[in-house]
Amino acid sequence: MKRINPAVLLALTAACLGAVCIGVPPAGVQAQPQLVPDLGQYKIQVDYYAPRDPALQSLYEKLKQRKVLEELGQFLAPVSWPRTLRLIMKQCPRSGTPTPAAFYNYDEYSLTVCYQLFADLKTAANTTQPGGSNDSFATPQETIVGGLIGVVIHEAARATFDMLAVPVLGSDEDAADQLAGLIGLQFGPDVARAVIKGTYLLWSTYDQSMRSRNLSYNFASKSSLAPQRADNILCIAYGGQPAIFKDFVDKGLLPQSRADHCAAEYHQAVDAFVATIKPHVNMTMMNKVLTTTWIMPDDLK
Amino acid sequence: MQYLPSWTAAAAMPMVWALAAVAPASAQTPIPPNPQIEIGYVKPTKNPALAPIYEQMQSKKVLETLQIFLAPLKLPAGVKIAVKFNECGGATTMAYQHNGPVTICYEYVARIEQMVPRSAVTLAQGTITPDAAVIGPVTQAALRETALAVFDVMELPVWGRTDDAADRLSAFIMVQFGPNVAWNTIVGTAWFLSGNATAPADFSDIRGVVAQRYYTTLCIAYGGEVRGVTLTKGVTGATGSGLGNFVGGEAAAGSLPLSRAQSCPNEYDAIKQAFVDLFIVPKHVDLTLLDQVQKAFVCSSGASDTDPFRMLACAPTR
Repeated sequence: MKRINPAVLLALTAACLGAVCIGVPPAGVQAQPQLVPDLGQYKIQVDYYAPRDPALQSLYEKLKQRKVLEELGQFLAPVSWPRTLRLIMKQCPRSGTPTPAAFYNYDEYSLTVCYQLFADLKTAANTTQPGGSNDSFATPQETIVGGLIGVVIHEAARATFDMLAVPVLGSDEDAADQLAGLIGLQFGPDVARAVIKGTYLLWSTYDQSMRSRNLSYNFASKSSLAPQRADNILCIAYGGQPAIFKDFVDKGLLPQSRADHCAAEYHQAVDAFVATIKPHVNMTMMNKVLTTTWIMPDDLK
Repeated sequence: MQYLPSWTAAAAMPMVWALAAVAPASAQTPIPPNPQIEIGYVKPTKNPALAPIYEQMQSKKVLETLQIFLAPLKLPAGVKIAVKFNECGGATTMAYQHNGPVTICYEYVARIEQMVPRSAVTLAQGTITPDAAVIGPVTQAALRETALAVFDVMELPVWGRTDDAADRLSAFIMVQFGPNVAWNTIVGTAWFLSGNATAPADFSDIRGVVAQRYYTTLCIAYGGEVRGVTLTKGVTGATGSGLGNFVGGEAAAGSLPLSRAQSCPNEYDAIKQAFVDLFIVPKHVDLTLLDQVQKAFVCSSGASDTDPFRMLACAPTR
């Protein structure tokens, strides 16, 4: 299995984001045709805030140069947004609780990805290095690429629920996890596995961080806890594509007692999607999005 | 396990089953029970200790109350939901399966009974009475389990964990009937859940852990008090219930942290909007009947001492 030095993972992330993960090729490579030439027509705006931390400057420049948010906007364009959705990258204040540095702002209708998220992805990816705790589970590339896509889809899901006024009977965070997992599975097998594995490892890493620092779980939080969210994403995956994700159960990552319910959980999400979100999606465009080669095969080896 | 002592204590409290002794307020038009809710009490045969609970549930007409409480709900034509009390072989819950029935375990009621205080307990947030300690969790269990069946038979789109959705919907409904009902049912439920919150957490479980259910129930209720908005104009909802006493006061055990409380009005808005979108707008709820049911739970000065709803609506609270 091809491995990458951890020291270059951050840079790889930036390159990967623009170059292969979300469709923008590196310099010298012919660009893929854009699905949407003008995001403004689809009520999507993008903005990159320069970070104050000099250590993030290089990442900021690479992400901006690669037009990562513009590519994300391509992915979100099939949704009929009733208001302008703002996609932002910036340096964010750190909270004490380990959690993905990305969020949806209800007041601004904005989806923010913080530059610090890439450091978290790197930490998760490090566990997949030879000798790491997740050595045989995923590659660093899968972790970074899949984790990033998973986080972004999760926040986009929250934007979807809010802006489309989707009735949500349960927790909106759990709902967003379900929708993110569901969407992730609609890509080809390689990308789907990357999204599921990356998301799982991100939550698993946060859980490990909590435990290593002797932090108590916050049962009062509106969000499910890190270990719950790790299992939830595995369950959606196994429920939707049991043949592909059976190894999650075989390896004991997902207990059989939970796995027995996963098909029902997956179909619950599918039914909810069809009833509440699909009517707001241009499915012709969405099918193009899903069949676009977002990740080159070599990038997941 | 012998359940009789705690049950005997509860049976000595005539107000406990106020919710169960059903009849609409005397001055109002009788509320017809929902014909699409079929009920039953299965006599326990394996554990004789559950027999007193079976008899009490039956004599106090708990499920008949539910039929009236759910009178406004209109299920699709030809669809019925069966709700029954049954023994569950020692387990306190029996997971709902597609097309039901809804099962409320006698063992669950027994567990509730075990945790009922013998006299009113003064918490930092207010008072929990023995009545509320029974009424709250029994009401919540009936609503919650029935909600799972409603999601199923109505094929509703459920985003989020189904059990969590049922908890949220139950809490939302419990704060629609004036401040006293809100306090007694919510705080009673919270009392029961808090007493079970120390059980080892299984993070892989499809359901949330008990402590999360505790905070979510309080959160929806607090959000309801802040918003002060109910589904019909005739009832004040949770405003003035005192549920806000559960917010802040980090030193007080069981308080809702400010970090969560800040989101509670929005969480209440979300479940309210979902209820409106999924039940009201598609006309799955008879608003006239809903108004009647709501008003039946309001404590009125004209109600007699034997008025069954008076016990719940007029019970002393904080």
